Amino acid sequence: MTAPSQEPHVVLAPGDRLLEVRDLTVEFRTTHGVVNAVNGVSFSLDRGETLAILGESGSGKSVSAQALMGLIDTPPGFITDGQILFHGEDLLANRHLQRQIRGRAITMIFQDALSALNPVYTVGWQIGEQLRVHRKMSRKATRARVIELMELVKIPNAAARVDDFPHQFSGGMRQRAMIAMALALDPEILIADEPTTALDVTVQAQVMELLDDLRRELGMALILITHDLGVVTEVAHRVAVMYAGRIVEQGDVNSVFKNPAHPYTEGLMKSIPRVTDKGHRLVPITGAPPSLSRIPSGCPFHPRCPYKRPDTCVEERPLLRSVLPGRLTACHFAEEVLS
Amino acid sequence: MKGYVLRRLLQFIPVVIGATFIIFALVFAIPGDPIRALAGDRPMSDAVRETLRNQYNLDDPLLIQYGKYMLALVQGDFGTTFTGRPVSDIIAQRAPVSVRLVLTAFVIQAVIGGIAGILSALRRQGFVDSLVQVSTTVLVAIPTLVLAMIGQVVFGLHLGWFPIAGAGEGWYSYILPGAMLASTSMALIARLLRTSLLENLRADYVRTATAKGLSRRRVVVRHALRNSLIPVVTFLGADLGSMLGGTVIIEGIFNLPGLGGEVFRAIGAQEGTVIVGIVTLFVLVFVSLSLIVDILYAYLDPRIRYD
Amino acid sequence: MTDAQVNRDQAVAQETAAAGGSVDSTSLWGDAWRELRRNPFFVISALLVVLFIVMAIAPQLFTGTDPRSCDLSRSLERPSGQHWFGFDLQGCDYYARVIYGARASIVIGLAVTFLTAAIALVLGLMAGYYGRLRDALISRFADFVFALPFLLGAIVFLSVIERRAIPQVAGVLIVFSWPVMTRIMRSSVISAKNADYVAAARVLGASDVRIMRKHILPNALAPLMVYATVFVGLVIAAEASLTFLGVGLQLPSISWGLQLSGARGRILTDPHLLFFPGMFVALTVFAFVLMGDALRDALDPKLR
Repeated sequence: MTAPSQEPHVVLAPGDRLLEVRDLTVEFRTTHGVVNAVNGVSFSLDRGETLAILGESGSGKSVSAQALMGLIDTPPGFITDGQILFHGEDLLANRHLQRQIRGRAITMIFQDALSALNPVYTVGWQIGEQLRVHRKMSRKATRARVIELMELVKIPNAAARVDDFPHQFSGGMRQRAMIAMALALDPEILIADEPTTALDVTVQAQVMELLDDLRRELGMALILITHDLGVVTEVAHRVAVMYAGRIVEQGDVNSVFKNPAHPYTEGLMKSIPRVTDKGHRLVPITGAPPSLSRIPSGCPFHPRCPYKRPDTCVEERPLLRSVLPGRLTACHFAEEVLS
Repeated sequence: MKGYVLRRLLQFIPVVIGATFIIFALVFAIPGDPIRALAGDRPMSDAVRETLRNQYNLDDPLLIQYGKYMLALVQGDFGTTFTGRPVSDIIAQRAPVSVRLVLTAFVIQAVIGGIAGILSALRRQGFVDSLVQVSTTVLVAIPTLVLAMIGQVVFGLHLGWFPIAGAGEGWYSYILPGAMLASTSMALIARLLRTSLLENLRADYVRTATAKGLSRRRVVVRHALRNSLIPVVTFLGADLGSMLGGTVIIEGIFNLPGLGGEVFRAIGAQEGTVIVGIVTLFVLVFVSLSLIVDILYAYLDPRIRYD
Repeated sequence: MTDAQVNRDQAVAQETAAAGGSVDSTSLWGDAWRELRRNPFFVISALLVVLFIVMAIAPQLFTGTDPRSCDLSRSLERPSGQHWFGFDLQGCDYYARVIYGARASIVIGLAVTFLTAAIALVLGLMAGYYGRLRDALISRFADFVFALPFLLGAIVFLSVIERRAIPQVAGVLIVFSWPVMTRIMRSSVISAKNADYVAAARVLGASDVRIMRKHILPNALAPLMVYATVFVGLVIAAEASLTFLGVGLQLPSISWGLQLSGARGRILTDPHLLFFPGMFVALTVFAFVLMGDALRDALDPKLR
């Protein structure tokens, strides 16, 4: 980043937590009842770190990210509890600060870049919009900076493509343009919501690599929302596994995947094919994820769990607890799963 | 963009030829004597009859007749009345009134319809929204003819806010007839804008714009509303035709001395040549305006331009 | 559907949308019917439509007075307890005239709609399903006619026809209105044709006729039905307008357009001449338009 930042950045004290989410709870009040999308999620993020939030559709991972950005529409969505501490300041208590931070210090990219980009404006216009609006940059300076950003995300021939419309870009290039847009104001945190799901496999790898490189170069932190275990192992430092609106396991990526302490994580590991396991049968997790308007009692995973004990698991909700150094798991029988 | 405009222009020419040919064929190729049909019960000397036959080249084969008629049209000749006055004279004299009426109606429907649509989308299910929903349903369903006559009685006669008829009070005389002409389109614009704005406010790119930290106003206006204009412009293009047709009814009811009023008068006086001449002009205007709307549409929606 | 909306989870939303797009047509109509019965607007509009149709078929049920037996001495009498709607210029009972006026409007509205829909069905199916030359010919010709605004085209054509009764007026309205419905039919046929289940049927060796009858028609019919319902209202309004302008039905026909035409110039002195036929035209058009709206809401799965 060559341009000097004119943003009133909060100065980061050494060792300071960049972001801390505590007990985040989001519900949607619909005509068909209340949907408990996020139920007390807590996690933290350090500077320069990549945290993956892993989960299936409907696990609450996207809603958590939208809550971070203040993108939950009220109604029907309500953040009923929790804190989002950015440099120690609670964004939920200070809506003004949240608006100041949104799109500047914390930015977000989305899954489907074609629909996430406005079809009627050129890609360059959309990347430059924040520069013109937030930094009051001139037309000419904006254009130069936009081309620079497009080069940063490795869009070939950026100077010529700056005036193209989104529909003239390929899927991978569109996602790169989204990333360029997110980087325009030098964010401290980039949230990527399923950034590669809509892309071809070869392009997926390129985009993930780009995100990882940019994180390192620009010293930002990355929150990666995904359902793709491969993506998590490749780029993430830590992972939080979500199930039914809760984090069920959290820890260092290598350790979690090598030795899962929650039956759901273990099930996920067994259900993906590995080159080394060739010839072995895949073991799917039985049953289907619960509806968020009817979350099972006790441990929400109990109907699908091979370790289930009738009384404890059905009646008592397991809390996140430390089972190994740096590892949190919400399972009554984590020790059993570990061994 | 250039290619698109060129393609549209090339499509424009056959449409003009096709549409004018249909009018021509309907009037002159029907069984029976077209002169008699045009003149109605009017007693007519053989000399006049002969002049008319000559003027419309009725002794030539149909296609030649049409060719000569088109050639005359290109030169601004829209035929003559039975008394020998060129219809183009009447057009020049009457057109300003119709232009004013249509412009007034256009402004009314764009401003009121636009504001109503935006407000009801932004305050969905609120009071304004319900009001807009109910009033548009009623406006769409009441024929312009009936609404205009009722409007004339209520606002012109009983309340006395506007002149009952005529164009004697300048622009002010156009407000009531303009509003009546605009009523249906105004309601349709409000509904269309509401639906499309609601849809666009839920669109992913609006969420992106919000995530970029843009103000709510900018997100709504520059992103959602900008995209919602696309279907509205398409509608306006198609709606111009009924607007021109509506001038005949409105100018007839409000006694405005415009082109539509002239058609209305000519129907009563059985002056077929005037009707044909003015309607031909209306068709040419409609097709030309549609061309402009098409180009505007491509300007608003780049996806069209590059196809 | 709720979860998908709530999550805004793209994958799920798309799957649901795809599933909704290929709903079995019988359940679509079944669901629509259940939806309609609960919609008060539909019930009101349906009752009004039935009322006006009965009025058109059997006006005697509503009035014992002969609309043609007039008494000039009662010319322009105001509405009274015995003669609710008063008398017209010729001294005819205006209530009887207005009741009998329903027939022309309803007959023209329904006849024009059915015939136009039939034309649109055939042309739209041909243009949309076969495409290429047939599509080009039909679409270009539709463009030409479309360039003639409905009302203006009808004015020119009708003004050169000397004797104008219901068949002539209906015929001219059909001539100028088929392009819109044909376009609607064509585009819904094209989108139905491109659906995966049609491709599947074709791979399984179904014939063109079978594909059209079994797969395309049921799915393409809904938009046409919605428009046709609204269209009845539009035709009735157009007929009244044309008759009002003096190029539609002629005396001694009894029609609301003629009554409105007679009211013009007398609205200052005899507003009842305007009010009653105006109200009947407006109510009839309103009923059909409202019914079309309700039908659209019920048939559009996206809105549910």
